[in-house]
Amino acid sequence: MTRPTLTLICLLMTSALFIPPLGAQQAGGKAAVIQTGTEERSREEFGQWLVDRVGVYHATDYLVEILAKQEATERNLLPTDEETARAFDIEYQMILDEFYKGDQERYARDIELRDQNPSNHAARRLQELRGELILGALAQADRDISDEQIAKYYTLRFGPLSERTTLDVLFFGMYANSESSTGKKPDELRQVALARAQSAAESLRNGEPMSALLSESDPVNSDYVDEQGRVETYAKKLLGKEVDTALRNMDILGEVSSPISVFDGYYVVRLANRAPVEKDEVRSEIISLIQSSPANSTELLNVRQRLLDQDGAAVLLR
Amino acid sequence: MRPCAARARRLWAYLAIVSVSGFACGTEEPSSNKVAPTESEQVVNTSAGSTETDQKAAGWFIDATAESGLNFLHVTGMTEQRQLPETMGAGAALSDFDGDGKLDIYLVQSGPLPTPGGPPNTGSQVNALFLNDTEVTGHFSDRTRASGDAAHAGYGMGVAVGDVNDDGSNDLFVTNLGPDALLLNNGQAVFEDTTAKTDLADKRWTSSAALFDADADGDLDLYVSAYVDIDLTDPPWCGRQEDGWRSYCHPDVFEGLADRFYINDGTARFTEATQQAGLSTRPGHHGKGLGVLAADFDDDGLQDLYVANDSVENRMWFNVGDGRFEDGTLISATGVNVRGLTEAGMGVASGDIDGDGDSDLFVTNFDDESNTLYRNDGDRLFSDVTASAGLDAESRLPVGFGTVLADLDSDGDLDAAVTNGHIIDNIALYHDGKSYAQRALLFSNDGEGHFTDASKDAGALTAQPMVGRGLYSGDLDGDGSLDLLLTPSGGHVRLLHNAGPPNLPEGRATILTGLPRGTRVEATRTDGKRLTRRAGPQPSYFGQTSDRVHLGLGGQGLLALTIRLPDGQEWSYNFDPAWQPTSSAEAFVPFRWNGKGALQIPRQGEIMMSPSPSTGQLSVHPAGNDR
Repeated sequence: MTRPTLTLICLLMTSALFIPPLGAQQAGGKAAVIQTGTEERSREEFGQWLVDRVGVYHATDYLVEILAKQEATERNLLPTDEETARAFDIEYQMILDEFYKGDQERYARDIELRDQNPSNHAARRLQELRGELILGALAQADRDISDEQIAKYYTLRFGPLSERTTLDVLFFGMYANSESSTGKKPDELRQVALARAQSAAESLRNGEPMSALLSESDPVNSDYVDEQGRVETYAKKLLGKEVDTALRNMDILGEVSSPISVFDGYYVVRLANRAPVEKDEVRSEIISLIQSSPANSTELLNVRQRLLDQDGAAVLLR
Repeated sequence: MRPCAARARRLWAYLAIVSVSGFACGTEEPSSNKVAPTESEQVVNTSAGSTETDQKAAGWFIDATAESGLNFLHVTGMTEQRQLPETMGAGAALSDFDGDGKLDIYLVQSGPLPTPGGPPNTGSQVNALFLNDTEVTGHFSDRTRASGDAAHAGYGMGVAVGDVNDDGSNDLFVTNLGPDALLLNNGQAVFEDTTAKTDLADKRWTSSAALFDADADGDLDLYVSAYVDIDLTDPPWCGRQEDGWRSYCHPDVFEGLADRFYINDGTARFTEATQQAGLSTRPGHHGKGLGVLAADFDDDGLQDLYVANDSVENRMWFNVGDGRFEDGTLISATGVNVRGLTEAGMGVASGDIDGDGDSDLFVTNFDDESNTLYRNDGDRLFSDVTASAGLDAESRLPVGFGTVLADLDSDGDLDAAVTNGHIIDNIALYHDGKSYAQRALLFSNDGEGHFTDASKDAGALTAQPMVGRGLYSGDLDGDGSLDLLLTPSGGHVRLLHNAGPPNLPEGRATILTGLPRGTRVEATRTDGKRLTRRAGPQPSYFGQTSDRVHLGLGGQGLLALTIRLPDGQEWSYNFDPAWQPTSSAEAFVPFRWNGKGALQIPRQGEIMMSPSPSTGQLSVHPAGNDR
């Protein structure tokens, strides 16, 4: 999930603003009625209310939302309901884990403290998420896929030697298991994680399958590692500089590293494959990579600015 | 002209004469931190069209750096690689380190980057300690070389101050790019590095720290924010790939680091307890912390924590007792702005801006963002009221760093000052209208939490652009008004004397010292206005302001005072209208809390003031007869 997506959840809690459906907005004219909370306002009154309440920037957000939806419709980039629902579920779980440490009751209580019930909370958030996904899709579609850009990504992904490196990865965290709740000090937790990592490295060297060891290890917090613990194409910094350093000394296929110390535990990696790749044979893979990675904050800002700069936007804002 | 302002100006004039005559109080040899203004600073001054004489012209703030004896140049260690740590600047702390009752100044130095193979810090660029002179309050002597390990030579970022071993003297915790340092004060402003006896030698890039009593056991615990994971040996190239265009990378390029929390056993032995306290974050969700503030936001008597993160969500942690915290970022809505967007949180300040008694929150941010004011609505709920409070538009162009919410005109409400400066030295190449050095901003509060831009009246605070980073308030010259200390990145530290705003009536004040951190002070003035303040320092950016309680009386008298200690004890004082703390010849009288319910008045022969147990009326009696 992108960072902007994650953070926009708070908008839900900060504002009692009801953004009217686009239909109401597009109806235009002085007589059009827009509901804000329990109040009904004409379009002009709504605009003034919006600016008075939160300044011109919120009004600009509103305009961007309308323009983005229009363009996404024309470019066939609108997210489906399923995609929006999936994004909601992922976000909900992330918030529960990260901000509430799994305490579902406290999360529900906080939603109610903000004068919302779970169903209208979900409805509003889905509407907002849809807007965020639209902006993200426009940013992705705006990306440069020129030959120059493809060459740059090719080097980033396959390194100066133009090799595809495939890794099997196990992680043993200091805070990811029951030991961490026993009041042990960080040094003691690190020792426990190290012992587990050493044992796993030994087992891997002795031919024990990854599938057996995965259940003994902790989840790797990285989108690049699949459920089998595999990184199909490892690129520099995907798992941090400590892993990069260890890999520099690994040449033999099947070689297993010693435990690699990182700030919250240890990695054990096995060099599963390393093979040369030509730029042309991975061209589509690179294009897909360029287009599918989540939009960052700068890209989202650029899309917003492009939408606002187009003809007619300023008129709407006035 | 205000009487105290007139006196203060005479003092500064006197100091200038003494200084010119060669009889300044500082007796030590200049250290390497003391150098003439750099070429870039002079260029900045010229481009601003101002001269030193202009800066000293009448205004709310008067540049008193030269007369004060303060001479310190921050060194960024800027390299061709444009390494991100070079942009950070360094902090400072205002505190009484030698126990004479006056605010001293500790300044953090950066120096050459600790890059393998890079130029070593030969020990000439070290943190500095300036002590307020015994004879002339407001004049400082460089005591760095006599301060023991306070002359710390790490690549410095921030500093937190507090009495961590309960020996009555203020100790130091310094954050660095590299191992942090705990420096214990022997009571005479001589410090010993005791980091090795603790868990505190964090080698990562740490930024800010807060010393506060997290578990209400009477000692100061420690929260340390960490910034990003950076490899100095392999800096990425950001910006256009042409000579002169290389730029500093956005923090998005780097992974955030986990903050850490340490419990004090009361003897300055700190043990990490991040996980146990509920303050841990998951990998991939660590903040990029720059500002850390401890305050009781939900008014339950426990110190909560707020962390301003750069480009990722800020975090609010509510203290639920026994040294445990729960994440209140979402419920409080202080993680993002009103538009639901993360901002580049830098400096942070809290205080009661609207007179309703609770602590509101102010965070400075990057350009194209506003600084953000979160109004405390009670029940852990906050609202971003930046626009309606009048703080939005002026803060869109500059990059905000240090900030204070302080009663700078002593009229009884908290004003806001922000120092600005871009992080990208060649920003003008990329954006018309943007500049590296930027002017500070000053906003005057109307008492209801609505601010007016008062920058044009602010004198030396806003007269010239600078690469602003730290900004700290405290009464450095003992006249009852809050002066400002500025620590620009790669520039000379500046001390600004507060002469009071032009064309405003006399705004007297009184100051309470010696109160434990988190003490709530409620004052009622003779005009009925009530002021709520909390004892303890404010972090601004990378440092801390004075921890004293400043009560702006706005020309009124003081009718009543209620002091609620963190342990729940409450003391009330009713003042005889015929006797006022500001009616003496001094016009300003500081009170010192003696820890047992008595207020001392040091300038009046140690007179003690205790509330009468039967009537609650104030009684005045000689020192030594403490009840």
